[in-house]
Amino acid sequence: MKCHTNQGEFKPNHSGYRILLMGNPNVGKSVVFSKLTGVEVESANYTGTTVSFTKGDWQFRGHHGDLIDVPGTYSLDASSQAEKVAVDMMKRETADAIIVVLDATNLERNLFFASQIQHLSTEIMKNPVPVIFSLNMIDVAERQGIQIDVELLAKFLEAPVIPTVAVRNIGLSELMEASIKSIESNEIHQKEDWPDTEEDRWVWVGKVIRQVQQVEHRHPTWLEKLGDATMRPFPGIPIAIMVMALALGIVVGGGKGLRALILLPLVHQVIVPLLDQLVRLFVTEGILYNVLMGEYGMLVKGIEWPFALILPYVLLFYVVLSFMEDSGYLPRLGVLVDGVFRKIGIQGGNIVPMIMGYGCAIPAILGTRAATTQKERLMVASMVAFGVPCAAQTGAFIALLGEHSVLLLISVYLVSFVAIFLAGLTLDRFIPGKSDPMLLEIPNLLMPDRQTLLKKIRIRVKHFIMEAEVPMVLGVGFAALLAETGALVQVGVFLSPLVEGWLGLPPEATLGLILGIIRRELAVLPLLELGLTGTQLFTGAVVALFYMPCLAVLGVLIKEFGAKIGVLMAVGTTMSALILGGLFFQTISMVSRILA
Amino acid sequence: MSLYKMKKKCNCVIESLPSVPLLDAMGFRKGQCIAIKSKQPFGGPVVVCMGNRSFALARELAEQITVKEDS
Repeated sequence: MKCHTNQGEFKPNHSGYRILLMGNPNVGKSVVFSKLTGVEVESANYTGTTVSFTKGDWQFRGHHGDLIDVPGTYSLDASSQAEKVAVDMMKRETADAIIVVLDATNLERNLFFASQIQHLSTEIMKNPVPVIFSLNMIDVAERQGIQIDVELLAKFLEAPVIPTVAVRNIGLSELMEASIKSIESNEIHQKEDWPDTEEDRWVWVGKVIRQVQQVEHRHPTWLEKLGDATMRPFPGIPIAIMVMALALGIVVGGGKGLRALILLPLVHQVIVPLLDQLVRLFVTEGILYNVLMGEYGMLVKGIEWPFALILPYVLLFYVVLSFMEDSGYLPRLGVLVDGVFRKIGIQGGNIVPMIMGYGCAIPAILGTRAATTQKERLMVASMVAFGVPCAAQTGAFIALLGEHSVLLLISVYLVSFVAIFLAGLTLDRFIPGKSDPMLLEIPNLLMPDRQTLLKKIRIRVKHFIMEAEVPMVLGVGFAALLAETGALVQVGVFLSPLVEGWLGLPPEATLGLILGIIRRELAVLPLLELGLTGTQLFTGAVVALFYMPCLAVLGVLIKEFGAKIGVLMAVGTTMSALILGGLFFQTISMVSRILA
Repeated sequence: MSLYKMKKKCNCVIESLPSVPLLDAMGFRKGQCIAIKSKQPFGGPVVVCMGNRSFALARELAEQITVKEDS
């Protein structure tokens, strides 16, 4: 995306107006941002979705400029990574205006933040800029019986206040109009007589609230009652178990159905024969034909693996994850598991990046930026890189183990859970520092907006296809070339003490160890159709599970934590994969020999 | 009494609280009314309701907040 940049590329905007978008977490800033710029960013119904700033270009009635989505923060005290980013953005002093998004359903706290922005902007910024307020989610507030006198609020804030419903594009034109007008007429809307102490400012907020807001008492809706129930141990824990079982059923059962009924027949009976005819027009039988269309050909496995074996699980995983994110269920799960998570030194809120890791480790690692301590970030990122299989790898495990025995599949996931738990205990002991106690706002439980949900799933699946397809085809092509030229046999001989002797796998399994560096599912897929025994399948799966993170994940680890820690994680996970895989194989073999 | 020791489903007023910037910014302050919604097992957090919002507070934090029952 050309108009989407990250922190490193930030430069002052020389043409057009630069506007900062700020506000409390989970007030809909990212939705406002997407609507105004057309840049697709991820949003969800919990705090901390935006963990670094995103920039997009806007155009409005002959004017243009850029808009920066600053991470949502409760205050500007710079106590977390996200708050540091927000304060830094204000210090850079390159903005022409600040739009503060206020949540109409929670005006009191949002007003405190608004007062802090107005007050601090005069202290931090040498040249104060106009501040404009978007009173968002005004429709939800009305449904909750909250009436706000917008004009009076604008008088108190001494700045424009525009009511908006960002998800439905309501009020956004007026918001841009007001912003441009303020910039051009140089109206520095800054209330000047702010009380000095926080206490006094809260008193001011209370006074404003009493005058501008009226709340009608009404009975809770069934969704609110359900939202409360999910936070009580009973029925919260049984509900959590049911939700997880349902999610698993949809991903595993649905994925198997999609694969067997639609995608495999489509690939084998339509796409591959068509490609075969096409290739035969240009290439005669020989090495090149085999590399392209042979049993392990680039255009055979390079299409079958990502599209028929992996895509169904990735698609359904993102359907389930996106639904859970937008409904606001994930933080509730965090509350329920906090007691257990504290035993391994992290707080329950980290279940969010961990569950995201079951899709892909990259957003999970970036998501750890919302953590308030470096220790917690490092622990969660390591646990995800070490023991959480991504959706693509889950697809590969189901293809490999599901056909043979569901018990094997379950055992691999049990090994994964135990390993994550033990890794947590160990890391907690060795990584210096502490993790902060849980202090989490729990969003209302909502029925997700269908269009936002579909868009999110589409972006994620598209991203998977773009990210996975090219490396997968190239990886399979490279493997086919190794096999055709006989190089694979030589590598196999070299690694035979490890692969055959220690892990008990056939020499062909060497391919998985080579390709697994490119993508995690490629550590599993070469084991298909090798006619492995149950023990060998289990060993191969355990090795693949803990094997080094794929190249893209390694890149993110290095970027986030530095080369030393990134390489240490890669070496650590690979060593544990080979040691644990071998130990499992040797132990099972020994036990069966004794029993025989 | 500490917030952690209060009974479930009870309304109370905050008497004192530790100086944690995030608590302040979330709107927790002396004199604020809160309602206890639930308490999680294994030393897990307390879920409280303030206004129309719910917050999960770890045991360590809840033990440092003193409250009195709202009559």
